Amino acid sequence: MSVWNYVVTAHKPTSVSHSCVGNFTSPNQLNLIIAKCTRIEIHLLTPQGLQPMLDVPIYGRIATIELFRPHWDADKSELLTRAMGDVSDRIGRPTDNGQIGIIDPDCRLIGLHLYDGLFKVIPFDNKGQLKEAFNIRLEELQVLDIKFLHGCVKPTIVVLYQDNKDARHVKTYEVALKEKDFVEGPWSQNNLDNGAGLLIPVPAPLGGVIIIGEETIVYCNANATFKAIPIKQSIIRAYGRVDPDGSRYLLGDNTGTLHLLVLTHERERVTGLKVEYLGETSIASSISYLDNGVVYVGSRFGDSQLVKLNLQADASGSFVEVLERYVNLGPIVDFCVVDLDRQGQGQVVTCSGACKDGSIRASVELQGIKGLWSLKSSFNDPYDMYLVVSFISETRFLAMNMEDELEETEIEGFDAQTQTLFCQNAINDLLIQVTANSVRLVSCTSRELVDQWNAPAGFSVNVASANASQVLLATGGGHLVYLEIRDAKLVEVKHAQLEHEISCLDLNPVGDNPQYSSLAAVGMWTDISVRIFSLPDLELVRKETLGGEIVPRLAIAKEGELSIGTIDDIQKLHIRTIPLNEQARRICHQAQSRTLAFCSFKYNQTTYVLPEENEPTKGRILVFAVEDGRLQLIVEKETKGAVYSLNAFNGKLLAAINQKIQLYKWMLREDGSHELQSECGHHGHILALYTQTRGDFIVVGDLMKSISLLVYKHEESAIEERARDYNANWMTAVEMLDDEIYIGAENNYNLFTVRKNSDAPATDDERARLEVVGEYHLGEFVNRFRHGSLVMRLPDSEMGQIPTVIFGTINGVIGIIASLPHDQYVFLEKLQSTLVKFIKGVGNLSHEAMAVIP
Amino acid sequence: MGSPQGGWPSYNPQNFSQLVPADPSSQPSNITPVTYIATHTTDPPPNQVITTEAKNILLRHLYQKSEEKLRPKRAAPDNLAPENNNKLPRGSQSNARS
Repeated sequence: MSVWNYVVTAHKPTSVSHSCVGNFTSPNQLNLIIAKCTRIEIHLLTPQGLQPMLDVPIYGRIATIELFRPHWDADKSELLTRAMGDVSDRIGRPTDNGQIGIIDPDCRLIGLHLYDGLFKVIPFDNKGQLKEAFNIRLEELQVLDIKFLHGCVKPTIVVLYQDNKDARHVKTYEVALKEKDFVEGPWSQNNLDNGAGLLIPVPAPLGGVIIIGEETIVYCNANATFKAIPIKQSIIRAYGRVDPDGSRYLLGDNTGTLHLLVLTHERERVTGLKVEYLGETSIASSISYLDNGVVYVGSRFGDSQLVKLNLQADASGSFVEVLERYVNLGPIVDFCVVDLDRQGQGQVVTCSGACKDGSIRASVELQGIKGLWSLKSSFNDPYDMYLVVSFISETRFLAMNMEDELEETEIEGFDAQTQTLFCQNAINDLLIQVTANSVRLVSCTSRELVDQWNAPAGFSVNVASANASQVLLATGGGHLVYLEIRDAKLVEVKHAQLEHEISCLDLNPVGDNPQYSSLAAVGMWTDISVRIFSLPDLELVRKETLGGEIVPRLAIAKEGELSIGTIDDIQKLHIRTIPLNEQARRICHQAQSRTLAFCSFKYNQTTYVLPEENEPTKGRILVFAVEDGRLQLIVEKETKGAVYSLNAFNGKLLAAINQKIQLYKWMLREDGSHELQSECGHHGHILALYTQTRGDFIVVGDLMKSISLLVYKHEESAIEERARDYNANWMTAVEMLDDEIYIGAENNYNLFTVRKNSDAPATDDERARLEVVGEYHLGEFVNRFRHGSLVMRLPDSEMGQIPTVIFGTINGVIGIIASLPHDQYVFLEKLQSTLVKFIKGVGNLSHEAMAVIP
Repeated sequence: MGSPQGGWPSYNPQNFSQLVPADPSSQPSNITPVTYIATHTTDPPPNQVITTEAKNILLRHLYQKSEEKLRPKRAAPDNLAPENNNKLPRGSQSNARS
């Protein structure tokens, strides 16, 4: 019933599109920078490997990323915006082959190719500041690649383009900045390999450019040097320069093969080209040589990798050794939500990856682990016995059994029905548990409650800390309460009220007595200070303002010093990978047989596409039964087109076949065999790609014609159109949120919701229209929606009432759309606008601009 | 491949020297860095908000051409200087392909 929907990401994008290496965070630090569509990750190269530094969200989709060294000093550990701007033009046809952004090697200008026939220049002045941008007309309309040449007196670009007879050529232009025009460049080369797709500019003093085709690799430069070698047919889209002088390059093709391209040269002249096989990696979208033979391979289709190039081949002839793999869920082609443990918590099982990097991945959200403590079974025991795991609304206890395994147990004296804030072994063989409304003392031996302190009515404990004999609590309103354990009893010794809210506490003894501390550390909100209080009287000893933007979250005191730090996010989604080496396309779950079925293909499809046709005209529906853990084919039915979608519908089978929605009955023949018998259908779509059903209603997502609503009339055995959205949307996924609200994703990375007008006045026009009630620019290409929940749903919790829909995207994002009651939505929207005032978009990109549909 | 012709470039011999390769049968790593939250200002310097020149490029070309015509004749115009023989302004000759 709710039109108020809240969109959140459960798993960030994992597909890697670009990577580069350079001294970014400091002149002495070598960084690997990785672009994952809407995020930038910055890593540091260290002796132990790649050290993650920062994960930067970007309010936009990254098209290109380049490192450059301008002529001014870099400083500070903040991501400062040097310049930003809107480089879109009002008139212009966006390029088919993607956006190109390049920087002159001598940092004289930035070049952009965003629209057919236009090259945009943003010049630098001699102080390193960017000036006003201007366009230059580019004659070549079908551009495949543009790069700046190295070592040229005037900035010079080399353009790889296709003419209107589909032949490919390369041409150079000098950029005349004063005249704002091109000047014919030093050379050109015609009639290249028909599959030439990539230009690699070679650094000075060699200069020139390498042109990568599907069957040849060519080198040419201004001195009329021309070298070419044949290669085995392949599509190379990723390259990484190895040597600063351009002697060698790593090339990655669309099957995951890694080659080394060598430019042999003598005295600054290229004398030949050689290509050598190195080994296999994930299908690369970016390759970055790091250091000492270690290379980062970024992938959109499989796991990104850190590989070592060895000097000797292994037994299979490969020089590539995989050092590390980094999970990539993308592209999520399909997924289903399976509640395997029947606990109201779903596992998302995805068909991930593409081609030989295909896999099935199962993700479980370890959501709600709020705290983890170990306890000993007696105070002087050297080893721990219990693991206390706290969730948002319960606590669970695990203990080591005789076989040295952890199994679930109970500690009767503890409160297990709520979140635990703190847990600790105490003197006199006692255990301490702090919850929001109480502190409990429990006997180690009997595990029963010995004493309890309760928070006063109206106050709940927010943060707590304890040591072997003391407990310090903070409630809302800046109240600080200090308890001591005396003779197995909790004694409230002192209470103080501070002027700000308390963010964190620590009571670790730093003096000679390991069981009693005379000092407590307290971190405060608002004035961002850390205060030291003496115990037991809670007198302020010292206050230190931290200044800047540090928010104290963790304070550790040692002899003579106090460290304050933040804790990294515990990765909340646990992912299990099953590699297939094939492309997995569709997956579904059958609860009764507890079967997960998926189909994958190498080059085998159940659609026949005849060469002269634009669309497939033949297809098949295959019906399998699960018997004794095996699939048995029962029925095979030919169809008059590609079957894009299948749904179980009122005991029958609904199929979307090309332009038609077709309903089949499942009939039992006299001889005991089954068949699918066509009952009725509905035309009226360009291509019916996505269908969802609910009761007698069918929602169809069309290739071009947005969402329509059909209804099945039992008595007439017919399917009729009830309403449609008349906007032109190229759909990528649909789902029914409830009986009246439907959600769709389209190919401009937007989500939108429509509503059925059940109670509109009787004019047919009104009732026949699905009204758009919500729009949101997600910035991701959604392949699939499914109802389900990632989070453990406890029946009496508030969250159990909020319906959620999970979605999966091409970049590996798993997200959730929650339908909220209006007042909760209003609250969250207010929270969002307040947060946006404090958290700035990196690069000064606007959060609101992301949320508005173009 | 005999050997990678002289080994691989090294910027800092320490990098990756203590790296322990992950077990090939283990699950791929899912660790991401700390999320960066920009609470500082992300405004660019005031003169560094980049815009595109508003003048239409055809008009700009026509104005430039007419200005050139009006300019008093000079002894050696740039585009006929001997050292620039290979370079011709676009449009002054047909773009015949080689």
